[in-house]
Amino acid sequence: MTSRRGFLQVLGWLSAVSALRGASAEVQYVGTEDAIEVRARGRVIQRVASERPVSLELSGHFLFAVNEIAEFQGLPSGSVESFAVDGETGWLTRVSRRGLSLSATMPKSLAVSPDGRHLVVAAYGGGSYNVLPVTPTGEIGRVTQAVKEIGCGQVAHPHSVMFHPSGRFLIATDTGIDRVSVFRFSEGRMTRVSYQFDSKRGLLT
Amino acid sequence: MFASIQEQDPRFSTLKRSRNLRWPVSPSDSPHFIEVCENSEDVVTALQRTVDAGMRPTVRSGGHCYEDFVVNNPGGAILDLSLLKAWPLPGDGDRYRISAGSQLGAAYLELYKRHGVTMPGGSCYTVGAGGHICGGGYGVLSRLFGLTVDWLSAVDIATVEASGKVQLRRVDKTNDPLLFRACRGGGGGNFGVITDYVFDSLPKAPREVVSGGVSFEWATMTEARFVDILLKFGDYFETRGKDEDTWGMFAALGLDHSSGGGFGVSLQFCNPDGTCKDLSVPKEFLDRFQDCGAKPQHSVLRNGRVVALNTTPASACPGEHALARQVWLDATINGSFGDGGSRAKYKSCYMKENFSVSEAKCIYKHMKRTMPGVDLRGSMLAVDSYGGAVNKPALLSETARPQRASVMKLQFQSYWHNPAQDAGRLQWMSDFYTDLYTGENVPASYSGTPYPGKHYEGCYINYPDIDMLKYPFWPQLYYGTGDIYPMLQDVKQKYDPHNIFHHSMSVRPKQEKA
Repeated sequence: MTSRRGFLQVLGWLSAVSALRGASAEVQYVGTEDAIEVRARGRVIQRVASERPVSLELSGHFLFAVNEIAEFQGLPSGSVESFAVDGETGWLTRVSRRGLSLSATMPKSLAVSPDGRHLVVAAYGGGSYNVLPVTPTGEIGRVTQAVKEIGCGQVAHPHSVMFHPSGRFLIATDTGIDRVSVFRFSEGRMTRVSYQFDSKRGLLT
Repeated sequence: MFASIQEQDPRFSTLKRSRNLRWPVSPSDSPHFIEVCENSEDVVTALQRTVDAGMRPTVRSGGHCYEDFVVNNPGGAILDLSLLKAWPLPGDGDRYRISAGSQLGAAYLELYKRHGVTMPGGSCYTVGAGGHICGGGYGVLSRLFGLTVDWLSAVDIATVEASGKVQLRRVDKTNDPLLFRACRGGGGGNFGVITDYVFDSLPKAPREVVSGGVSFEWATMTEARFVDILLKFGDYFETRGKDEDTWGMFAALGLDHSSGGGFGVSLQFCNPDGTCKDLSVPKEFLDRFQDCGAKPQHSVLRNGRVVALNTTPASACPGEHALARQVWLDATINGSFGDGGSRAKYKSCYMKENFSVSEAKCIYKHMKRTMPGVDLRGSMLAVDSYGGAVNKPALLSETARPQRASVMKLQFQSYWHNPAQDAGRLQWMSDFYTDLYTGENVPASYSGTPYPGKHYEGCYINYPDIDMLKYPFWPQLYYGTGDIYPMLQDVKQKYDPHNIFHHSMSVRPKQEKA
């Protein structure tokens, strides 16, 4: 998996991941403004409609995308999508699309747990993280946990999130409050371990 | 000390419900905590704890929210204010203080017995003051006295600062004036937790009122007569109803679906001095319907709906009306408790003019519509009189309620019990509404909605309808096309910078730059 956002923005792309498929051909998944493009040997072999898929993650036989939008089905939230990946050709088949929690708008980043059973999304606009379950068939379930970040006089804007390879921790960056946060992840729930918020003193301790 | 109720508590399954039994849709929508607060310190403590835990707070007073804005709060906390009492503070002087947790009926009793005054709020006893007032607070006395928010002088509200700290504020015309304005009609669940409403003065309660009405049978109804009745009702409020001597009259045209047997017009009236010495206004009004095959009807308003007490078989002659005289307090309190929870759906529309003939025909069509397998009894369109004291133009810039030029307010309602009827009921109302607001009175780009213009003035935020969210212009339906919604967004940014208070129809933060 490659993160090449800075480079890709110059080219008008939003995100990309790549994987080896079939006869060792490298297949790339490239997010554009309104689609996910499947590319092989520099050629677009499939184009799947999407909405601002700014972060793509491959996990097992599935590709997950987070849609950087402020409104989904009339509600104030972003959304996530899942696609089944054909093992031979790398082609995508849509499996599901799911809205985030209310106010979790403009999500920027998503992480798939190493066991493939959960997604964690960083919602830049809403200042929160969402946890969503994933079934063995790649179906994304309803949000099971929403964690709202309250900054230190600043409005939080979670920007990226990733799993520690053990699957027991999440590392997240927030460009609104200029912090790196660490969460414990256990039984599908995230709990902050890096700091406690002291509201009486208005401090992070 | 307040009660913090969690899932294992036997009270949880009862208290997690909404009065509209469609919500919550599934158990996973339910909160983790229901915090039953008794005073404003409890509110501050519970809110701070919720925010510190990264959870979402929603706020409940009476539990009458039409949509799922409160009880759909997965993993969050409902702050239940229904036990919150208003404690007079030093410095209150002669001011009136109403707790956000108070039921309207209890507030009317207290204001009347202690002071002889009242609020021009809603007619349902068990509606909570918290959501009702901050959304406008319209009721039977509003033509005479205006909206409840028109009288509001100050609000005590707990907000969450940018630092994350909960702050209890007293807001009024000089302290946090924009937040105060936002609380005067902006609607619930937007900016913080209101704990008290304060009024420097309130109108004197009427001494007595008369109730009366006429009823019509569907069995003998024709389209032409139906159209005639609607146009006569609407014409009155577009013309004669603007005269000040009529402002003491509230009238409702209760159009029940034809599966229900009949429909009727009913009224409550007092003279502007709060007596019933001169009944020429209601008599003149009821005279309009005498050649429509009307039957005089002893009726009373219950829970915002017209209930017939008995019906005299013979058709009345002009000038002969069944007007039942009642002490105002009895008319206001008795029997208006509502009939417990049911499944329900609502929509609304403000009208600045009388119905057109094509609108009346469209209403007739949907009142007569039958749908295979769908029981439409308990479905209705209530057309309420509006205007009078509400329509003083200066109130537009003082409050957050834009509807100041309407003469009627329509409430589409349907009540049922069987979840299997959900889809059919919603379909009937959606088809009806879309059909009615498509055509000559609505520009094509706003088709399907009563978009503010010459004929319509949008919708009432206290009758929220999430079907409107599919239109990007939904804020203009509820808040008008003027400065109110941008003002509310400014208030959101300043007083709830984290957007902690939100639901599907709350004031949205200005679009963030990614």
